[in-house]
Amino acid sequence: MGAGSHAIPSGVVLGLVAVLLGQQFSYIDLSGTYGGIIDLVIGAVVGGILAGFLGRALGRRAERRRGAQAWTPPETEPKK
Amino acid sequence: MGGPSRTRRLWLPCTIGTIGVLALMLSAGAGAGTARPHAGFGPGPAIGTPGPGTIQITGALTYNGQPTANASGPTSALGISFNTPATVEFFWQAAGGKISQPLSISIQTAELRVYFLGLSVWTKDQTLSPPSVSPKGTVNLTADFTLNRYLLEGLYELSGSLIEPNGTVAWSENFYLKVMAPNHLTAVNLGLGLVAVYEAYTIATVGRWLSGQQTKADVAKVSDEGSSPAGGDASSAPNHPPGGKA
Repeated sequence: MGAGSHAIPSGVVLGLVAVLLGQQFSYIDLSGTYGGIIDLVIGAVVGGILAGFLGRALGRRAERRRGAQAWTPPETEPKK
Repeated sequence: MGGPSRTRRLWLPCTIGTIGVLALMLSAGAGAGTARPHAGFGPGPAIGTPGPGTIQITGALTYNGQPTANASGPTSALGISFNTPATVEFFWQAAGGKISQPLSISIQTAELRVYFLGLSVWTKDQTLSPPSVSPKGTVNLTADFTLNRYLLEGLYELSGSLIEPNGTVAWSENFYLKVMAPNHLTAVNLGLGLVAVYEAYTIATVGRWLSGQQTKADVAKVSDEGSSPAGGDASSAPNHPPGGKA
């Protein structure tokens, strides 16, 4: 499983939380059935997509960093 | 941070939540006709089609003395706090009818409902005993949300209804309240904030998680290579490095 996939569930939860906080702090209307659920679904989808991209970028950065740290000259490479 | 097990653990509540939201949507959609007696906003007649001889009812509602007819949308919501109980006043007046017909309407219950995601989550009513039979009248009820003042805030839609003894909704009006807590310190806000911080931390440390996964994979690869002799059958191989030399 990639880093992007790992971050998507957290993004979905963050999107839902953002919509609920918008209802608490601001004027997002979650009173209606369809309007409220559509707002929540939009929040979840947008949060999941953004988190997927962010997780993928962070994962690539971590791989680059790991690759740079793991590389050693051939003569100093430990014996297997 | 966890690994695949944590991801599986997160996918499960997400899936359950999505199914729950869909079920909620379907159940609330099926009962939407009964949940909201008056779809339109503002005061208006609610008995039959107006015609010659029909008695029409007009009504008005005030929440802590402020007319709710001006709060028919989210942006025009009445700003309140839950610190003190609110007084809600219903007024109604019958008009029309025939000369031979007494111009009166029977009202038994005044009801206030709070909606969230289309569902009625809180109800307060005031029943008149005996029912008020007159061409116009007033009912007061007290909406006490003080127990919730440290629990939640936000924008909520309410519906005020006048109900006849036979259960028919004689008049109703929907309006919005914007509840404000001091410094936004409510249990719901704190809980949502904690969840947001935890999930943001999970995303921010996804690189560390990936490194952990790769380290585990490397360790497993090295151990596999070490436990199987070169060119031999892995299942019958002894559990030591080939040749017994490190």
